[in-house]
Amino acid sequence: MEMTTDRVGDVTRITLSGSLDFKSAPDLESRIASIGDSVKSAVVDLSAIDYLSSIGVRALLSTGKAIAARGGKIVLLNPQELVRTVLFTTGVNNVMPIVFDGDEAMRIARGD
Amino acid sequence: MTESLQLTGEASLTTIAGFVAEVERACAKAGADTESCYAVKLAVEEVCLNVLKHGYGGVPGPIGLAFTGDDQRLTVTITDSAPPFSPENAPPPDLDSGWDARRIGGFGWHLVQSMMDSVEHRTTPTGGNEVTLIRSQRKPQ
Repeated sequence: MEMTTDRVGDVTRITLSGSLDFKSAPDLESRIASIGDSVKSAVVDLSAIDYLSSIGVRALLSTGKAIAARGGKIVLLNPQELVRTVLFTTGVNNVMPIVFDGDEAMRIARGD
Repeated sequence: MTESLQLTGEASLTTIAGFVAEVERACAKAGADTESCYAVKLAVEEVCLNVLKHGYGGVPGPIGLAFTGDDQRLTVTITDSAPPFSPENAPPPDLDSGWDARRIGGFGWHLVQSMMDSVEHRTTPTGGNEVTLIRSQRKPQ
């Protein structure tokens, strides 16, 4: 799994690629923890994630919970079909908006 | 054509990574559709991690995997020597709560049951567990 981040105003864009599974999830959590409190709100671009399992779901939810606890918002952008199935099956969509348009994702994350 | 695979080892993260990779290759060789391959790969990861984490308490113990796949169905049987567990007693995941109340966890078994067509557990004669996962191939629309 690869992760890059960039920042637009208060919103950190986190772009992930590869597999988000038991091998990579701890790495994701530690890398997100390392940027920690500097993330007010986040758009997580999942378009290049081709595999997500329960441990990746936990990593996404833990990240989202921490951001929400600081009053921020987290939005998931453009998951592939089977990744989307996992997100819906685990109810991630009930706490994180899942959108397919980058501008809409930024608007939601900014709280516009 | 029928593709089959037999693997044994000590459950550890390295072993599980190997099992997942072998099953993924076997699914592709069996000509499985993309969705079924994903489902079976995920189920193998989840069940094997459960064996290591909950069955053996994080300490490696024996684990076996048998796979057969053809153009109709993919079947995986995972065996261990851990104390018997009752899948029906697995706590259901929290899928609906907002952030304040959300309990994060319990997704693995839930995903396995959602993505497989059949999940059966039995206690083996030697006192371990055997989980059989079946996924019917999805025909192209």
